Amino acid sequence: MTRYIIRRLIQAVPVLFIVSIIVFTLIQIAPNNPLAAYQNNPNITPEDLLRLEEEYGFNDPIHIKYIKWISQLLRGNWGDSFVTHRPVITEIAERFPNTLYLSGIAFLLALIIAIPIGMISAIRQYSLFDHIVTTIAFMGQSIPIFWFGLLLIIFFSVNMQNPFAGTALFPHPPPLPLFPGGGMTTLGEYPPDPLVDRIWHLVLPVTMLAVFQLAQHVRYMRAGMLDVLHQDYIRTAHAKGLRERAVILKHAFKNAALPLVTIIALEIPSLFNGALFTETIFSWPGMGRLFFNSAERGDYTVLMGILMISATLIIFFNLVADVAYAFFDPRIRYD
Amino acid sequence: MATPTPPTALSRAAQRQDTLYSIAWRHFRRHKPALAGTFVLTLLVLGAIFIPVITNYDPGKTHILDKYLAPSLEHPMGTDGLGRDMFIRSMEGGRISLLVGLSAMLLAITFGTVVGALAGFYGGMVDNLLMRFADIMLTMPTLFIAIVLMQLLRAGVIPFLSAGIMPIVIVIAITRWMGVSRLVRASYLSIKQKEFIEAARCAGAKNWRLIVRHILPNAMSPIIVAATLSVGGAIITEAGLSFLGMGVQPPTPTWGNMLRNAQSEMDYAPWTAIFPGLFIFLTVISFNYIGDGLRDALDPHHVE
Repeated sequence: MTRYIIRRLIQAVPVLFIVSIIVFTLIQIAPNNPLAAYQNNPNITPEDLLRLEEEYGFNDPIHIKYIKWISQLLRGNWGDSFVTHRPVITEIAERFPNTLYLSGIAFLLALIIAIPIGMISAIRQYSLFDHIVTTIAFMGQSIPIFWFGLLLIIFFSVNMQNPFAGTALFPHPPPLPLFPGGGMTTLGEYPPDPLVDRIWHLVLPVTMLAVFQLAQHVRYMRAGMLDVLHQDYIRTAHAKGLRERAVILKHAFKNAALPLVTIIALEIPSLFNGALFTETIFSWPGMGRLFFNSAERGDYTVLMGILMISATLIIFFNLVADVAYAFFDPRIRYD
Repeated sequence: MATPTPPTALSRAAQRQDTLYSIAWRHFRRHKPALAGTFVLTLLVLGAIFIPVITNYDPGKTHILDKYLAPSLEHPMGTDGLGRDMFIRSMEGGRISLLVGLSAMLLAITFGTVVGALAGFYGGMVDNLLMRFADIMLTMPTLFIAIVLMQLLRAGVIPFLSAGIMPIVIVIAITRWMGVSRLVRASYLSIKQKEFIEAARCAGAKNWRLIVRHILPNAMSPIIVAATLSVGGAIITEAGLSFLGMGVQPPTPTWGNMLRNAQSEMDYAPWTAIFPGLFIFLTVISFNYIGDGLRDALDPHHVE
């Protein structure tokens, strides 16, 4: 097993190298100029712009730019943003907690709700409950997530009033929406208690993010459970007189959760990428927005930083998924 | 004196000349959600094709006095900020969204099938090279790569590929072929071991003939299912990118870029946000249910 892990880690190095070349080239071919913002600035003359372009090495051929970038990266320097002039790592470190906080809560919530629902749905296959769950899960996988977010705002932010407006809980006098349609905390006057305020701002974006994952996890948990319930060892467990509860929790659950473990490991990298649509709709300053805004400005050091960290995480958690699979199911062997 | 034997199940089947696809159709008919999906999708496609024609719709024409009218008999889905009828505009947008979804699916499936077939049939170095390429593609975060590629194509770096819906179709196909290629590769790996392939080879069939005429028809079922399911995914991706302003640009309406405008108008004209999204949802869920039904119908373990 250790040799397998080491081999996979060694294989990851050339893959990351190739990814960096492809992504760097793609970004460089796109005619984006990070200095475009200065073109309308009266304090900066065209000569200054040319000098800056030369200084930043914008006119170098792509492979020279790439070699400059990667040799800095190998020394641990991710470069500075061309727009904010701050180190790329600082930019990412500032946004990442916001993303983790939002996506992490949605992720855990979706998991905690999905496991029991998926299990009950499988145990009572073809019951009314099962039909309702499978239908809703199917809808959850077909709904465009950004539209769902807009619907949440229309129903809970535009059309519903907060009944506690003007009380100690929410000092803001009415009218106040039931849940806010954006932001991480209340700006301006009458802020509620900080903890209440944070949770209040989380409700809608977390719901939006959790729905898709929930639908997917329920389907995996249900399928895994159905698979296991027809196995011989479950019949044996029943036959030797174990109570239903013990059969389900001790014998079935562990094996049924296996496919879910893999899915979870594969989803973790997306916690870093952020939820671009949720962040866009709810004005949440996270990683997704950082990437999108940097893409619009052609701020390629930031783009490369985010893409390379994402790719590394995807490779790493693919390995984690495979290892976890072998760990939980001793029948699987890698060599 | 021999009495005529009552028809057995076997002889009935023989009389009906069952083919794989007629059996599949019988199963498919029993899958109620898939039938409903087919029905809804047919209506949507007909609506998207004919309603803009019947109503003489001119996408550039605005009626500023009629802006933000709530849904009524005259405008069943209300009007937008330029007084344009939301229903007709949604149908016009549906043309583009469906066209993008179907074209992107065709491109992705074709490319994925070619890559998977070559990798599975030839094995060895070819397989290794093609599949490592697919792995590398899977290592990049899809949405982010789509954004970078959209910027590149739309800027007209490659002139032929920057017009109209071409960029978005290509970008969606580039980010979606990998799954198909793995699926097709697996089918080819198992089918090429079968005796009838051996027989065809002995009869003098060349490699390309084995790949196209002998193996492909037998590998078709998973491809058909994947194709159906990927239309829904492609439509959502198009809508998502257009929603972010990176996809098809106005005034050409798509369901995605209609939602982009709606985001700032929800407070007073919620119908501008509700209806385009509802059409995306109906289309995607229809394709997904049809894919689900096809999966059951084309499953060889499912024969009566």
